[in-house]
Amino acid sequence: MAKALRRAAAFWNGTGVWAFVLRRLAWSLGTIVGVVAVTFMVSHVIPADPAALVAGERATREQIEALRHQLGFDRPLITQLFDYYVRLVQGDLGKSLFTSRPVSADLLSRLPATIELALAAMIVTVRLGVPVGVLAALRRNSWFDQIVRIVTVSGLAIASFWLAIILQLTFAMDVGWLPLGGRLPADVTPPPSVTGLYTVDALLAGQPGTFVTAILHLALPTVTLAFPAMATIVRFTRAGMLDTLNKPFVQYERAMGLPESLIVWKYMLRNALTSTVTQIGLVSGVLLGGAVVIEAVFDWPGLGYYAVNSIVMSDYNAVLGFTVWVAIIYIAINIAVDVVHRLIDPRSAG
Amino acid sequence: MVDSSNTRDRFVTRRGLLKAGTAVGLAPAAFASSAQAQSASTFVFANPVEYDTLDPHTVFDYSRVATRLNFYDGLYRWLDNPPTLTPWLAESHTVSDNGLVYRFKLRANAKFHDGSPVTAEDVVYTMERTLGINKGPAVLFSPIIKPGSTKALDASTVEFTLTRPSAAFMSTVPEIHVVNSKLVKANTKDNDWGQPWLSRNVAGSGSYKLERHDPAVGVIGVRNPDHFMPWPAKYVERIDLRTVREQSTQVLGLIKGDYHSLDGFLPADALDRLRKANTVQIIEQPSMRLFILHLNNQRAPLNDVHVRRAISMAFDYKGFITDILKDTAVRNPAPVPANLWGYPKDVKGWDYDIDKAKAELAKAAVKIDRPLEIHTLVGLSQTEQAGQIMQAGLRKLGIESKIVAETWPTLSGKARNNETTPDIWTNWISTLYADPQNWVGEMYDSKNWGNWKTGSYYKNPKVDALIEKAVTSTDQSVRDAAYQEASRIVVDEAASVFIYNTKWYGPFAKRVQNVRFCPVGNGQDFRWLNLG
Repeated sequence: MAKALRRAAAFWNGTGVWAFVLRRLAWSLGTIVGVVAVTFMVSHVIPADPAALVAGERATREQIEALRHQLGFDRPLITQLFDYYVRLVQGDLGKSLFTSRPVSADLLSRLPATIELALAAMIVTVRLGVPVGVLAALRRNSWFDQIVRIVTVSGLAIASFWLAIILQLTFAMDVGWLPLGGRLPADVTPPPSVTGLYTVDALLAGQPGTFVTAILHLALPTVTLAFPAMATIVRFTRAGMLDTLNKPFVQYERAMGLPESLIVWKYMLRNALTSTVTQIGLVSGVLLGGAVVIEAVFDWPGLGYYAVNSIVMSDYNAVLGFTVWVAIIYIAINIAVDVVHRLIDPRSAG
Repeated sequence: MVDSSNTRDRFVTRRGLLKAGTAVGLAPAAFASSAQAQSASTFVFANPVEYDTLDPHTVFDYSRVATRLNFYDGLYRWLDNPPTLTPWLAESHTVSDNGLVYRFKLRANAKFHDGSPVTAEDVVYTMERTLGINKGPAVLFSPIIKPGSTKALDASTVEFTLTRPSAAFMSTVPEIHVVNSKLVKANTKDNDWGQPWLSRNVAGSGSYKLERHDPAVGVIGVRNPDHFMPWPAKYVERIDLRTVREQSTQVLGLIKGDYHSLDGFLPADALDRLRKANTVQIIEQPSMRLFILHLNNQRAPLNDVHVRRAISMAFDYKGFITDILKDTAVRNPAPVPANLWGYPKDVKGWDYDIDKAKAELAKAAVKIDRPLEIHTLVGLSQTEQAGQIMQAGLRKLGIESKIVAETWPTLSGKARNNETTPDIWTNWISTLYADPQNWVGEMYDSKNWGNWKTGSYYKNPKVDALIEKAVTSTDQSVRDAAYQEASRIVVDEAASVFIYNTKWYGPFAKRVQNVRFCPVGNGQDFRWLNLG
């Protein structure tokens, strides 16, 4: 027993990746507890009355009070918070006040749309953003670099809402190549759900037509989301590469006669990616938390609008459920980013 | 190693290009077929609000009325404009002499979507469920019907016994959306009245059957060929009630042909844009949706009638309706829509006149020694514009004011109590049933205090008595006269600032025909229309 404990302690204190992940996960529990407490208190102290809203517009005071009692909102806040923690440990996020459905079911029904869009945007962002950032750094102050600078500044400055509408007007209305919004047309039955991602499920079900339609529906929201994200990634990659350009190891590799492409895309990029990876993590977190404006304009049934709606309607359980999801996403991404950092730069393992 | 890596990259790129090329090649075909299929049989309605629940007994609002009207049937139904109460699931009814007992005879050929007959027991269960859940439409019935008092006299006769006479009861009967009691009971757990199940499923007899529901996307219904009400010669086979939140997307989608109809209360600029599109028709109808500014009658200085009258004369009605709203609404100076009975036609209301307002203010006994708060609704620019016009008028009277934008839950929560209700706040009163009780009755009867609709917190025993007389009388002429008189008093005492009654501008694709508009439901009873 004592030996096992010593081994566990040694593992816990070790420098291995799994020990690191476990330690971070343990610390993360405190983060979730804190996030839930803050969200719970804030959502309960704003002067809205969800019991009154649920009761209906002409409910009497007695009916509202009866409903408040039934929902448990007349108990002390600290009791309600404690009950929430107990339910959370059991995996129960409670029921939506307005739909009477489990919040977890509501979140799960919207999650695939958010994940599909976020993944598509991240793929575009990384696949384009990193190479463009590298090339801009290698051709510093060239016309290519200047164009990239203009485009990236635009990406950061242009409001997503405006860009979304311009893309709709151009590609859906004027040219007619792409749909205005939604994930699929009404008359196309979604593929049998395996992952919830229509593109993946369509391929798994052997439905190429549905796959193409789903891709086309993804196109405009993906571009709108990816544009500002890509601007960030390009700028960070470019800056990282510029830092690395004249490092001694680069000069050494050149002196050794290694091919330039190998030096750039393997050794330099690896060194330059540290801050880019952090940015990719942050952007992923934002995207996975739902993109409210993009979802609204492109009629994309994701988490963002559900969260906003829940906040507006003071649907406490839904707000808390969403908050827990976002907290988990950020924790997972932060851990993943740290792990990737260790892989890119083993010195960061300490 | 370097070479192989590069080779792999190139291979991936080529494969990716091949995939992309295939996708682009297939795209037009996929779209063409989908667009044609959609246009042939499916009517698409773009709604700005999510259809988060299908349960007809938990919500009672205008934004999700399409699911109630198309998947469920009430005993009676409001049709056309002006609204006519029409036998629906019930073929007839009788009322006892004392106005307390209502007996409805159900149609013999009405069937639920699973083929079982609609019986009196289902109506009884529906009423018990409505009262038991005590949400949404329960507020219409709980003051006058006690749980357990509704009886099935036989398979096709149901009897409601009211606790007091209520002439408005018949106006609310269309809201008794009958559910299949056996089906709901089979899906009930822990005495929850089957709420979670019915939020995602339909247990009705309506004109359309549920095909698919995704709260985040919308609802799709297929025609119920066995519906008891004969179908017109042309109809739509499927209805797609889709959530499209962004107004610009709604407008573009209608112009493009992705949607066939939108909500009928769009702002003037969106309507202008739609009018210019040759694929769109705008159907104009007088509606019943009043826009007012509540004045908190219980808080100084607004508890002084002279202050309220001065404020009513400081609002630039013409500037707001003509210049800002481009005459998409009509002035309605009383608390009943001008196109409904019970409206006092002799009432002129208050006009914008700063000089008269100043003279009226001089008569006030109270001194205005603090800025007044005007509360508007976040995201609804029209309420903010109305607030600014009110603020400009008050400034001309020497009254300082502050505009506070709030969300509806926050504002309606405050308005449930006269102590927390703002000084002045913007509000629309929609048609939930076509009876003056829905407006002047519910808004200015002090017995109703504690509900946002009474947000002016006006109290006048004479008005209370007139409304009580109108509610309990079964004589239409008596009711008409009582509501008119109550309205005259309320306007004279400037209980609120009465601004306009909405016109309904139903945006439809040009090929849509036979739209049957009714202010109750705003034309969202889709069984009548077709796609040409």
